[in-house]
Parts: sequence; structure tokens; C-alpha cells
Amino acid sequence: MSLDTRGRQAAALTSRAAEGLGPAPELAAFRRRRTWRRGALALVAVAVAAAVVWQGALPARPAATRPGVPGFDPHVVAVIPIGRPSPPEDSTTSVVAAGPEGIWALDAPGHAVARIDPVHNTVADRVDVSLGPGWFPVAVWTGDGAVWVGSQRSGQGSALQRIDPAAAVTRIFPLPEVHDLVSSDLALAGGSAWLAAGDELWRIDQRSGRASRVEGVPAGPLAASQERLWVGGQLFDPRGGRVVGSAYGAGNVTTKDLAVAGGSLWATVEDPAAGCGVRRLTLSGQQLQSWIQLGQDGDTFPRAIAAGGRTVAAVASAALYLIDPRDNRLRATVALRTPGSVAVGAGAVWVSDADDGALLRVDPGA
Amino acid sequence: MGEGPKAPAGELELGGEDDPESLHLPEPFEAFYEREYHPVAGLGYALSGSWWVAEDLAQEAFLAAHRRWDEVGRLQRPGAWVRRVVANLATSAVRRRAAEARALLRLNARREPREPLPGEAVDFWREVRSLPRRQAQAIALFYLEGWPTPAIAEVLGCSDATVRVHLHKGRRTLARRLGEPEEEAPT
Repeated sequence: MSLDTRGRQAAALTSRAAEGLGPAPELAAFRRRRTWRRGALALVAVAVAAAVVWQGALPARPAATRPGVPGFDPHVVAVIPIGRPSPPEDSTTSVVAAGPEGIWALDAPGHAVARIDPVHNTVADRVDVSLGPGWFPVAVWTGDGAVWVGSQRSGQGSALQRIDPAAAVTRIFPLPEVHDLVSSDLALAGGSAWLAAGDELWRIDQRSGRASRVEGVPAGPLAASQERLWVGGQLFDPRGGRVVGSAYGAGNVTTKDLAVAGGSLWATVEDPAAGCGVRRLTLSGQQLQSWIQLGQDGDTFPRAIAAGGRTVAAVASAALYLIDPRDNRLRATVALRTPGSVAVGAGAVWVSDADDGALLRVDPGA
Repeated sequence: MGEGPKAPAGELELGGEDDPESLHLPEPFEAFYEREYHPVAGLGYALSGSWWVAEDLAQEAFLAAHRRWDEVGRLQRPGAWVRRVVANLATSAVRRRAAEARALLRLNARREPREPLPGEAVDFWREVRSLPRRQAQAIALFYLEGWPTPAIAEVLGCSDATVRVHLHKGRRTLARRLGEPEEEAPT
């Protein structure tokens, strides 16, 4: 028997067995299960928070004094409707971004990016990013004085828009060979935009607009600082176009997201030996400065991280973790139903709600 | 990231984007769900080795699709989107453990196939799961769905060439471990 024959037989038997499971479960049962799980998660989060406060690990700030939004964790101080969400809940795609360019949130169904007014917690204006029939915007980033929007057209390539909000000028970089922006990341370094899309790393020359695949460097989460570009656990020289180093212990862990702030590289990792959490490394990546385990016994793998000022924020399923970079301690655990992307800017933490399409403003409590 | 449970290759090829009707009129979610649930659960089994986990992952993926059906339903291949979610969930150790824990909590609701999967199929998928993550995903889709490599690339979110490499390496390793000769090269 050949491998293909055996594979096809196994597939046929598996398909028959799957049919033998019986009818597909009722959708109503899904919703009940989901509701039950959310309720249970909320109860667990409340219990954990109560235990932590009781043990004195958190500053004893009474919830009643925090101007929280009813129905949300007291850290949530504003809920800004943006639009309906598009990426899956567990996606690492960025739908909110913060930087000197402002706070921006993606409204994928509305084919727009919304600029947030952080003073009034409202949408200040919207920029149309539609590219025509079949196109959907899937991610937004900030950097190099611009807002960057990644859009894709199912199976027919992608495009990157560079929006200069001050000049109201948009430049479009066609990426016909890039097919996966749903799991993507963008960083600016060495005069180029670097795009991790699926398994591939792409360089987009901002002058010529030319996009080229970087061979031999598997894609991963990106972070840039000056002339350093981190691609997963690898340090990449954006001018020389080659890998020049690797982060401390990178070979032993799975890295899901990276952020640079406060002279450090922050990485969300799953370490088979130490569990899940956040690693703080020197910018060279060579030295481990701190290890912050998240969840019970490190069972929570944060999928996104953002850093700025006095706050590092990591998002995991149903929770936002606020870390104080001054002492590398967990400052608070914020229970959220369906957190999506996270950004830090304008003195606040901004989290997209993957279920409701809203943007949550979270008080970092610094 | 519509198709039948065993969609022929031609049906999966991309196209029709210029037809506005195909872009803006998603089929009813319920019809999509009824048609796709079992093959998606089968993919979940192949990549997790447990029917309980497979059903939990499938339900998780369909829930996600249901919540954003306005967008997912407009995709050329919503079935590819759901399979992608399941493939990623099934090969994430953390998510799989969570699914296992949830499945254990639902002792009364858990189900097994009417007829147990024969040992040779169980052994085959066990070897597939021992492959590197992307190779395992590509192999499972290749055999379960019989899809061409561009369709698998759409699910995995990588290039056609990358899928071919995953399939080549994965099939070579599988053939060695199972003591079977490879047959024809993947299309």
C-alpha cells in the first residue's frame, strides 16, 4: 500500500466517522454554552481579582471611586463605538494602533479608519480606505508619521495604504503576491516598511514602492527600534538585509507578539519549561531583564502586547494584563469579554472588543 | 481566509470576484453550518486526535463565523475561513488544552462516532500530528479535502510554493515512518 492510498483511506474513514457523530449541534446550544462560559469567566475573574486585592497585591483602590463604565471592569473608563469587528477573536491582527500619529481604530465593514479624540473619547473623524469591490481592510498600524492600513482581496493579493493624516495624502503599495494579512504585522525600519504576512516576510521600499519577499527569514511578530528590526526571536539588520542575532532563549519558546518601549524589548512567549507570560529583554535581546508569568501557573498565553510610558499591556483570552515597567510587576488584571488588539497611547490603554466592534479605553492606573 | 464537504478542486479555485452578487449575498449561515460541520469536525479530529476536542474546536470556529457572518459569509470561501480557525486552534497547545478541559466538563454532552475509527486511520493521523505544525495542517487538508495546493494555501495563509514544500517534507517523513512508499506527487 502506498502513503497516498493509506492517507485517502484514513480520510474516508474519518469523514464517515464524523458523520456518525450525529446531527450538528443546535446553534442555540452554542449560544447558551458561550453565555455560560462568559459568565463563568467573569465569575472567575472577579474571584481572582478579589483574592488578589485581599492579599494586598494590588493598590487598594475602591472600585466605586473609579469612573468606570457600567457593565465593564472598573478599569474600563470609556466605550467608543467604531463598527463591527472582522478578525477572529484569537487573531493577532492589529485593529487598533497608537503613536505620535494619534489613536486609530479600524472599521473593517465601514472600509474606514477612525481617528480617536482621546480628550472626549469619541471618533474625531474617519478616513475612507475602500479599494473597490471585493477588498476588505484587515489591519491598521502607525509608524513613520503615517497610518498604515492593510487590505486584502480574497485570493487575489493585498495592498498597503500609507496615509499621511496631516497632509491628507494616501499612497497605495500594491502587494499582489501577499495573500495573508489576517495574521500579519508591520514595522518601519531602515527606510522600509516590513510586513510579516502568514509565513512570509516582505520588504516594501517606501521610495520605489517595490515589494520583495525576504528569503530565508520566516515571518513572525515584528518590532522596530532605530535600526533594529526584530522578527520573532531573530534580530534582523534592515540595511544589510540579514539576520544578525537572536534573542535570549528564542529557540526554546514560541513568541506571539513583540513591543519596544522604555529601552526594552517585550515579548509574549510560551515557554515549555516556565509557562506563558511576558519576557522583558534588553534591546539587544541578549539579556533577560525580567519574566512576568501570567495566569494561574503560567497557563495564559497573551497574544498581543503594547507598551508605552509607564504601562505595558498584554491581551489574552478574556483578560487584559497591565504591567508596571518600573518594577516589572503585574499591576492589574482587567476582565474583558472578548479583547482583540491592544495599543498604548495618550495616557491610556486601548483595546478593541472583538465581539462588539467597540474600542475600550482602559485606565492604566499608573 | 462555498463549498461542499468534498468540494471538487475546480469549485475551490478562486474567482468570481467581479460578480457583485457573489460578494454581497452570503448564503444563510444555517445552511453553511449544516453542510460544513462534519467535515470541519473531521479536520479537528485529524489534528487533535480527540472527537470531543474536535467538536469543541469546530463549534468554536463556527461560533466565530456566526458572529461575523456579514463579513465571513461574503468571502469567496467561508469554509476555508472556518477550517483555518480550526487548524490554528487544533495545533495550538494552549487552545487544545483548553478545549480538552471544556470537553471534560461536558461529560453528558460529549459524543463519539457511532462506529469507532479503525486503528489504521487512528495511527495515520497520530503520525500526521507528530509532524511540524504547518506540515500536519497541509497534510490533513490534502488528504481529507482532496484540495489542490492553492486552496490549501488559502486556508494556511501562505503561498502555494510554501504549501508544496510542507507537503513534500511531510509526505516524505510520513512515508518513512509508516514504511509506505510515496505515490504520485501532490498536484
